[in-house]
Amino acid sequence: MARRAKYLAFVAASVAALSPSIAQSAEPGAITLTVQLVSEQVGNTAHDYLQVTSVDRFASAVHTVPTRPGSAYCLWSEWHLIRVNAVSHDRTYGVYIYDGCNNDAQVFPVPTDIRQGSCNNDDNLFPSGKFSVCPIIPEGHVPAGLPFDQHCEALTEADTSLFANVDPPTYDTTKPTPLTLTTTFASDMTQRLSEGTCSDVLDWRAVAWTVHWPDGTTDRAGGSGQSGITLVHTIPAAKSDTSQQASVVVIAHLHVMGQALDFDQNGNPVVRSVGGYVDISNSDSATGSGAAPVDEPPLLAMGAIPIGQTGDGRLAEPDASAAPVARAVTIRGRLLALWLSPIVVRPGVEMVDGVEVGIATSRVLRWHYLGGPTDAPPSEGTTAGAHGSADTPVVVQYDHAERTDAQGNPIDETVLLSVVVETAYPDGTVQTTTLDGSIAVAIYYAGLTGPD
Amino acid sequence: MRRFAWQIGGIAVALGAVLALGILVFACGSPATVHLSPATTTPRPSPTADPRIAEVEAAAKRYVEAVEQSAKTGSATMVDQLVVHGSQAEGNAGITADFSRENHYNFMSNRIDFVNSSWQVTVNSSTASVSVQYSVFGHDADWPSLRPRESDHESAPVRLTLELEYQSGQWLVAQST
Repeated sequence: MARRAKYLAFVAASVAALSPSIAQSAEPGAITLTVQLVSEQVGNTAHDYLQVTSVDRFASAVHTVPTRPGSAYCLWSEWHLIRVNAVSHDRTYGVYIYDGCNNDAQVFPVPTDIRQGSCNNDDNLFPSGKFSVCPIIPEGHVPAGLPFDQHCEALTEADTSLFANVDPPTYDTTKPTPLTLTTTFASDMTQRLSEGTCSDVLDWRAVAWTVHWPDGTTDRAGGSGQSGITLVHTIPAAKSDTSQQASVVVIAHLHVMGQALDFDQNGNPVVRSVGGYVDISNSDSATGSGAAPVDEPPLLAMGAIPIGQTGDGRLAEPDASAAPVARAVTIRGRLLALWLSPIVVRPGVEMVDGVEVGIATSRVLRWHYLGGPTDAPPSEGTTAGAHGSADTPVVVQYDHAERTDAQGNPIDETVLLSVVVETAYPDGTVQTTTLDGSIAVAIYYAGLTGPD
Repeated sequence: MRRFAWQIGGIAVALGAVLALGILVFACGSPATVHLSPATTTPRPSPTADPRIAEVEAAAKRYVEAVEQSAKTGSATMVDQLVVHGSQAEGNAGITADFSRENHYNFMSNRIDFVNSSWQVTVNSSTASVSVQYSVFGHDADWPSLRPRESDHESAPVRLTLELEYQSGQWLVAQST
């Protein structure tokens, strides 16, 4: 008996020293798994996740159950939305729990709370019998660790917060009828979006609208922030002599930013920033998955902001507001600094369902000088094959006069370059491209009329 | 009188045959009737002990031995071979192995001492249930090195309840608590 007491004391001490999640089993001598739903507040939204307590004979350990498998932990889960209560906004999820350390065998822990119990006896949802546990997530709560996309599977919730009113509600199809569509968002839109995206939404805005009218035509409208829109569309007269309900399908393309409770590689809960596009619609068939934004690339040309060496030998810093040019002018025998910057012939554009929702910005990251040596002193000029970043200029110098062709037309010098350009879109997408080209340099010298 | 005795005897034999035939028909049952062996329950020993009880006890012992072994190996492979595929017991098979892997220590047993008087076995045609208590003799050790943290001693008792199914000629554990 004394040995047993000594053993128990030692186990308790060892367990306490190892991990705070391990404890002496309250009922020693069992091998069981129990599960409970725990909540952690992130901003205005409670994030719920599962915790499994395993009792192995004489000790117990508490495991957070992440939503993806990992090498640093055993138990992981897979969540599926199986029911939404439209009145209470409770959502019931069917959750598979797997033991990643045992060939992903499905685990069936015993729920400590009947509200998070198994769905095995639900005759209306027979397939749910295969789930390990079926937690109910109440209003204001979201499951933790689910991706910010349709896999949260609750965006239909947010659809109820988009109102679309059409005036008149019915019309005579034999006469042309102007229909006025007015859309508004419910005051609880942010909460509905949080629940629909399994995150704590901090900001959202409508970046574009798509409207399908009853005559089959489609209108698109630009962003409206957190406000609705008003559109007027005239339905042409048809041959059939009937009264028709003015049924209009409205899709609001939203950009949503927020934060969410996720799991790190060790399975511990961590708060992450999330964001993305979701669609909200009054259509019964709406899925909530956002139309993927399309990034149209910019049309760019080689350009530079030229800075000539002054009479006292200085090279000034470039004017950040100056527009880049494809042709620079220099004075014979003086240094010319070319600060590379792309000429944006047409900017990159971010489109959602055909509507422009933002303009991209492009900038030079680095350059590669492909030309030969110029007359610049080696210590000051750019050498052949040199590389540089955007905050260093390409420096050239020409000690001769502008050359001319047989007809006496001037021939500019050519500064051959290859530059890497980064284009950043409003949704955070960044693309890099390589732009090959040249900057033309005209040479003047004292005594000639200066450049226009 | 003697002839009368023969008549009585003949009637008795006939009645006996009818009764035996009736019992046989009843035992075989109609097509809608499922024949089940009578449930047999310990406590032991019983003069009419069903041999299947020993089989179920042996299956339970193998299961306990495999669980104890999984604490050392950190692998539930041996336990998996003794459980019904897709059952709750398969999900529980890794509890002890996982405890070793995740907490890097466990109680390692050298001997399992079943409490003979604790066996409760119920056997039906293809299912059985077992309740048994046992303790293990061993020590806490690091995992995976198995370096002892203490000397051997008898553990606290463990109470185990198993539901088993007879599949492919062997008793497999379907549920464990």
